[in-house]
Amino acid sequence: MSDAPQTTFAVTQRAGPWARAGRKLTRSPMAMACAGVIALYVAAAAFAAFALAPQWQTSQDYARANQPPSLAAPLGTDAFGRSVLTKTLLGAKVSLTVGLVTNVIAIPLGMVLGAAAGYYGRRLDDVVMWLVATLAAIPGIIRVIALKFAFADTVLLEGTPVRVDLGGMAGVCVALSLTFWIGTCRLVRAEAMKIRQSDYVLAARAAGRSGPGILFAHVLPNVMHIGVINFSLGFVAAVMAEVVLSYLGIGVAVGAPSWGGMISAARSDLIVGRWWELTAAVGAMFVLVLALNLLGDRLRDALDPKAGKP
Amino acid sequence: MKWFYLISLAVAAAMVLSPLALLPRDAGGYRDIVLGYDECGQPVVIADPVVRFGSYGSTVRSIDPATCNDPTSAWVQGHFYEGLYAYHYLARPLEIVPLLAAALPEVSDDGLTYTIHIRPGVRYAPSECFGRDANGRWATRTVTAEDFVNAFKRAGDYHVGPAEVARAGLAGRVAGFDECAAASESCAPDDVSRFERPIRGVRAAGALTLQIELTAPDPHFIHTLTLHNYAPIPAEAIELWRGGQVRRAEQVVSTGPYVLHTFQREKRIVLVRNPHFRPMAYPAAGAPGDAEAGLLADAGKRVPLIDVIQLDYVREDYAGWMLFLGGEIDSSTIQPEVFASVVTPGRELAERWRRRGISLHTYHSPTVYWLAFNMADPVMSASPSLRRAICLGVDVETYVDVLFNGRGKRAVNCLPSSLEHLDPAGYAAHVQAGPGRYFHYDPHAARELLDAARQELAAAGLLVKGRIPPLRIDLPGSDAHYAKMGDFFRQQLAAIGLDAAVELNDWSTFQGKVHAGRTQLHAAGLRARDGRADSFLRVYYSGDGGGSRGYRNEQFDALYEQSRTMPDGPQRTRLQAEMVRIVSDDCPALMLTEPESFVLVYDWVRNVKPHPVGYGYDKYLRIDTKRRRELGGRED
Amino acid sequence: MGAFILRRLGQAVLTVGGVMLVTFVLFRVVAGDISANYLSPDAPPEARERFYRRHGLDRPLLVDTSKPITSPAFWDSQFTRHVIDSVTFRATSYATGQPVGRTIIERAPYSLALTMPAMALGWLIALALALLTARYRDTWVDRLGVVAATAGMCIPLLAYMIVGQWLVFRFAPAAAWGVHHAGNIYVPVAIAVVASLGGNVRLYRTIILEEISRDYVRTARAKGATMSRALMGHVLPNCALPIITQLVMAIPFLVMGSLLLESFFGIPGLGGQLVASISRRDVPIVTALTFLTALLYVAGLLATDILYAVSDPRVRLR
Repeated sequence: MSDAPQTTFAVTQRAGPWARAGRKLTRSPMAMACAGVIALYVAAAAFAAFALAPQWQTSQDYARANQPPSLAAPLGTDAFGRSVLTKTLLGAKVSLTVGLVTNVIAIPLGMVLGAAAGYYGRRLDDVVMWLVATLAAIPGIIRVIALKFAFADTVLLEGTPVRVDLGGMAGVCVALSLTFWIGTCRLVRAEAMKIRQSDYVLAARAAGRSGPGILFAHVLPNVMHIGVINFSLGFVAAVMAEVVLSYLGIGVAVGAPSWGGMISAARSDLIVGRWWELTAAVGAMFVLVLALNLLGDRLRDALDPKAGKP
Repeated sequence: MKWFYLISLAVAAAMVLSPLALLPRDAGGYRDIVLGYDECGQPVVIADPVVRFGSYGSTVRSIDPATCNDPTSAWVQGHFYEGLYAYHYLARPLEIVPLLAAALPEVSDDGLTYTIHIRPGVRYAPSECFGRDANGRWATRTVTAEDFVNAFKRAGDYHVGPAEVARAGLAGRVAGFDECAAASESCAPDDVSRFERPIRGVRAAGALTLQIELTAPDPHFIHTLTLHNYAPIPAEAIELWRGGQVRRAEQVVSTGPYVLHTFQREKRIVLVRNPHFRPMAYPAAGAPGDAEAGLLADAGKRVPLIDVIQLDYVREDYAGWMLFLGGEIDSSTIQPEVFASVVTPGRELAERWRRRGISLHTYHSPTVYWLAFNMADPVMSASPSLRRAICLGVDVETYVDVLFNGRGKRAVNCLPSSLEHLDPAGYAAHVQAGPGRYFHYDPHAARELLDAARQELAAAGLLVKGRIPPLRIDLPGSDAHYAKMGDFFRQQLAAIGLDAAVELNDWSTFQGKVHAGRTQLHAAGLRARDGRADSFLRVYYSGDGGGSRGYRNEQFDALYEQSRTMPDGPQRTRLQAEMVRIVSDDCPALMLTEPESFVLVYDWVRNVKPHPVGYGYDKYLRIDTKRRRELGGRED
Repeated sequence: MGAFILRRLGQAVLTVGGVMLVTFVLFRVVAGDISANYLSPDAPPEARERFYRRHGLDRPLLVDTSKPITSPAFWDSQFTRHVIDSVTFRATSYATGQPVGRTIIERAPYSLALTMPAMALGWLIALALALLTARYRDTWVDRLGVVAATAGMCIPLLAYMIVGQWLVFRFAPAAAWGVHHAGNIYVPVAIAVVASLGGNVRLYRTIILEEISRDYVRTARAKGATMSRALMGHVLPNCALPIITQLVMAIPFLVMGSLLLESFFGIPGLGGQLVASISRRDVPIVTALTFLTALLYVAGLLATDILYAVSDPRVRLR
């Protein structure tokens, strides 16, 4: 009984900004176009994963290696004679997976830790901030490299069907997510500290609701917009980071075509005038990242509580 | 407000121009370079030195002869350190000639004692460790036999550093070496008195006479003495280095034709002609065909023929290639991507490149690559048919074409055919043993063998759901080349019905896995430092702490121990051929390639004959400066 | 004020300690067999043990429980040595035996020579472009600028590097790699600036536009100041603090250099050294360099905190 008014109050609070944001987005042609592009990529990646991946392993054709774009191979062939178009589509699958998994781990982690640190304050806050400062003091790329090297050999849950081999893509996702959670954590913490002082939280505490309850019912929903925005930013960062890791040789495992692998192999190809792999990978990445960035911009405008002002 | 902007702009401008202050200005040429000082203390100056511009691709780990373990360090050190013996530059098959020794060693009747006379009058390049002479310049002295004893002691010293190559040649073979090495551990690192303790098997029987005592007769010990890792080290130098390694160019004490002038580890190395180098002449005779190739044109001239060698650190092949094309460095390997346009199918240089004054040199180094099967792994050891099937199922000829542009040929047994010009006795064993029964491409036979393999594995209880379990291939690198290699193997195995997963590791992880025996199939290779068959056979010998690949064949071991200390001859050849046949039948590895090395050199560099095993031959090179100017090469 | 600084110093020390712990765990505990990098696979087990003994890797990890707690030998563990070696910069590389202090002194100038001009130029040009787009807001200049900036942001740095290097190779091959002539450094600097322009222009533009929407700007304009004067005279100085904070926070990472640029263009700086050391498991170098970065980072944090505290009294209460 005593809960009901707060809950309704909070629900009204929660529904408002999201519904408004949703409406704003759907009304913007740019945002819709970007969402469409992203959906197209997801569809292409799914198509590649199911229809093209099985034959990928055995599709070498050394007689037709390194051909420029033509009718038979719209984007040319690579050093093994495989179609660069197929490679690009499969690379989309890798990039999207890395972006998704990395952020699915990093964002909730950052949000929960940040919210807890901001809300509870004192000791927990000190510990979380110490962890954040410690990790932030190590340059990001070093963190990722070190993590990948440290876990290069590890296989989690060996012997079970859920075997996670940290040497390959899983390792990339884990290493990147352990690096990305920091940004979200900081922002959520700042917001959580403000929310802690707000009226309805004070009221809830006066009414005797427990800490975790308030955290999940009031704090987290109100920092969700930070999570969403950082998800889109983090997705872009993960896709770009995968390229760097592939160049350094610690990206996804061999055999899985990835845009990063294509770009780093392109370096020596350019001397001999083979431009098509580089162009295909950079082009595909460019369109995806552009769509994500523009959509992220619109999301930020839509979700920003201050944006309503003239 | 204006101050705010002005200060910010000034700070920004300073930051933008900071490189000009931070980066060292380029040396600006070597005109009027001072090579050293003569007896009167006057500087020896060369107004217009002949400079060679080269490059090195991996970091030089050591400038101390004892700790020289990798090829790049060995190549650089070969310019200024000299050993007792060396291989003749031009002669093929390889011939050992005395370098700092006066003649070949006198071996006692029981084969245990080697008496070596040292060449008299060899002087060290002046160094601060010898103090100053009457003119105030650094002094020098001649090499004595005691200096070689020091070198042997340092090879085993605990505090000098990882002296793997130097140690491997002596451990267990020279009397008293192991005790001396163990004793050094309990001394303090800078306690140089530990080098005064005698070592039983190495002593100076006179000022210029060195005696080495072996634990067992070994007719091939002289090959160990060709390493410059045992370059003489005077006691004064050990004191200067405080019992440790030499790390700075100024402190190097050497006898060779060049002196280490500058050593910026990952930037630039400069070697300058040693004006006190003893008279040494360019060889007057060589292998058949050398005279026609113009390699004897400088016969009798005093070496070294180039005054200054500047080596820049160029880590990436790609960058090295571009620098070569621009004439900034004078030699380069050929990038795989451009190979087809540089070399014709007939293995000759394309016309376009010859017109630019570039020549192509090919050489066979004693190298074999293989895909090792870890015999400690249950699947690989349980089923010989599986191993044989893998050997039959991989098309190595296509492998060579696709991955190496056809540079090389398939290895048909565990000894490379390049031994023909290096170790005739070993080559005879290679020929006698013949091609391995399973070292050719026959996918049909491979698939039949897989049926037998399935039965063997079923008997051992190793089948997974009735099928052969997926195999794991580990490769020691993760760049595009290894990605291609992994893809190729996987595709070939898939074609005969085997599942394989490839793991690209960085070098460290790979080494760790191999050492711990955690691989199933892994890439391996060997470049024999002495170019002899014995080194290739030692890979499969399980004594001596070896056998990290888990391969153990008692018959092979017995034959190896028997043949190890036999002199070259038909009996040894027979034993070695038998060993090769055992390996070919057991298939503990899939033999892959004997690579062919191609290097492009501008023809203003004369007397180029790539030596397959030794180091220190750059003293024979000469630069034709007129030709270099014609072709627009780098002059300073 | 004093208590504030003391508190911050305490946090700084804890952070640096945390960094040492993290690097220790990652590089010693998890790293596996370090000796595999320095000895050949055929080396006998005694060689491996010798290697471990010489480098103190056979000591216990944290504390030596076999010794009494009061004696110094109790604390002689790998972690203690790790801490001491890092703090005094006395650690020597496994590969070359050179002490890390000398390595830093030799190589830091190259990293700085790359990152300082890149940062300064990038900052100047991005700020200038952002001011331009703000000045001509909602005209074609603005739209073009935003489009170009957004597009530039979406191309990975690696692509800029590859294409940039290829272009330079075609026109001035000697300049495309290495730093044999000091001027060569401006090639990677230029590429770094171009690659970072997109993101920076957008960022500064957002900050400037936020300032412009403030009341005092409207007042200034109402009083007759032109947009340009308002920008230069009022907006820019007020934007200074967030921009400068960002730059100060980037300083610690200047010393490290840019890993990618250094390895791509063959510049012998610290970043490339760090990557090479990690892959070689050259633990002393890695830990010493990470310690250096952490030290500079917390120094930077401290500096910005003090800067803020001095300029904004409310912050001191925290």
